[in-house]
Amino acid sequence: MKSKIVYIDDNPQELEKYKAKFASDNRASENFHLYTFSAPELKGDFNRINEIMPDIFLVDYNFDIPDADNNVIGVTGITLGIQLRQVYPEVPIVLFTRKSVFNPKKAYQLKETLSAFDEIVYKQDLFQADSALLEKLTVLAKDYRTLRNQESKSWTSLLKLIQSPPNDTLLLEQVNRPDVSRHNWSANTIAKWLRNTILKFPGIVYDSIHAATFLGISREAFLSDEFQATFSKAKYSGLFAPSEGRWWRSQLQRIAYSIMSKKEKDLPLGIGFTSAWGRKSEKPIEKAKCIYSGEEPADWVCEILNQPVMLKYTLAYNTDQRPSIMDESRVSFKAIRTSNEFDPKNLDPLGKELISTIRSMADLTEGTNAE
Amino acid sequence: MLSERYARDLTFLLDPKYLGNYFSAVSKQTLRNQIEALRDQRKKDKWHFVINKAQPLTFIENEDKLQADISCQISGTRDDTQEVRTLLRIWSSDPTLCYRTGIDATQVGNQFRQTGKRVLIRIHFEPRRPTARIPEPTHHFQIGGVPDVSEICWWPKQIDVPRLYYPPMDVILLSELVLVNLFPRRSSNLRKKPEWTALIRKSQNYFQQTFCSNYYSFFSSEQDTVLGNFLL
Repeated sequence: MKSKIVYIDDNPQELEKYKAKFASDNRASENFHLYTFSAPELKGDFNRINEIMPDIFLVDYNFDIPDADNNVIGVTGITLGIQLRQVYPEVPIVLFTRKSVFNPKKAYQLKETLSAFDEIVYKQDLFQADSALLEKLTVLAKDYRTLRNQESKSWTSLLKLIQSPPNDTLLLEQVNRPDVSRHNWSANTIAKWLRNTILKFPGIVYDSIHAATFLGISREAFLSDEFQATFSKAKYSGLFAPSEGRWWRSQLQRIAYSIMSKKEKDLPLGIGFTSAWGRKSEKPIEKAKCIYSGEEPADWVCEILNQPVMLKYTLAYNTDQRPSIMDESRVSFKAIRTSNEFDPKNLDPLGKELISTIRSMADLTEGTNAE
Repeated sequence: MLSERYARDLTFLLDPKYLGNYFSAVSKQTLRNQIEALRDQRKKDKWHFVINKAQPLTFIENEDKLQADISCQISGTRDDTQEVRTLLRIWSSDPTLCYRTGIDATQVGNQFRQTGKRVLIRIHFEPRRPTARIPEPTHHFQIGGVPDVSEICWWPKQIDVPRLYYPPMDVILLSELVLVNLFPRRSSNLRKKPEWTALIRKSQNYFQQTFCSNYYSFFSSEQDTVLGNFLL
């Protein structure tokens, strides 16, 4: 079933250009019907859009081109997005713009207002051959539709839709659980909870680097066919599953424990599991190597470098509002010493006291292959 | 002033990232109040930090139904510590650990059933008493002491030995001891974190430096034994 995209832009050339691109690109034409609207027509009238019953909106950021009657809409795409969100809480809205026009890092003051959008997609990236953005839009439209069309809108139904293992239901309840007490939900609320909390922060589900490090192995080893075959049941396949994959932490642990001996279970998981896997497959597995010291297996992931690191070579790094139940965000000594992205303001007071000591320490990565 | 720095360090114990989730809610209130009381003394030459035995700093129960609590009387002048007295009690709510049918008196059993817990072990970390009848190491620990009735823990008053030389232990150092012994797995990540180890090292510096440097000089002394030196 094709999803209906409503694309709103005040620039007729852009509307034509993307109409042609959606028609000519196989991935796009197989999955989407595109409907274009120039912004001024939207003024106070959503009737035509209502008739289309869109599955997803693409909204341009700049609306400063006058229409045929020389009227300028006088709003940005953000204002329009907020307006659309109020009218269509059940439909995903994507800010569709150019990097040169809109940079969310510079527009940090817009953080609250950007919350009307599910995603920001840059026009120049959408049709790149190696880009997964079209797949992302497909999933967004499809899974919003599933939420919209779900008959029973209860907590239990939601758990089924995300295929939560029984052990995780209590944890999920503790992570800012959306209010479904009246057996009704807005698709947007659920989508936000899943995409911006559960799937975003490591803790209940892991991306490949966190999953690998949790098990004490390298990402390459984790993503190998042999390994994925053993851990296939741990893979998250519920709503809004990212194309790069997510894995339930509880299931990774359950499967890992199933091949570990009693003695191995008494060890930290990374150590016990790598030993068990080596025994089972009769060959050693590549372990997670600490990016700072080269020690193995590393037991945490550096928030900035997104690489394994020993917890003892990290400091707490508070850059987001993740729920406390999620894995703590921590930055490696290596990032502290080398990364331009590191900002000491994000450390807690005890961490700030340690900065000068860390910067004056001998470089443990010298002579290792940690790079 | 050490009192101000120590108050700041103690505040981190309340943070869920450190020990906030290990303490009972009432204990967190107690600790917060006593930290405030310590802060109020920042302009005074002499300072005291007290957590009363009647309202101790209580940890949550561990998987083996063991529960630790800590009380203390710590005093200092300006940048030095003077006297550090702490008490660590390990309680249990496990009937099989607290009452042996056919061996222990029925009254002990009844009392245990009423309170639901009893003290299994109590350890004092304290300096030498000036009026001690037998020689005591300058700083030592002693098992036993004088229990309250509510502890259901009988310890003969006359048995106040042995006293084993041991460095002074403040609330932060005792908390580390509790984590290692009662929550070894749960606290393993916390104990690896540099922020936590830095906090512990600060308490080591404040409270144990003199004892440890004495220990090393006593160890290399040819005049007497380590214990002998600690008794002088």
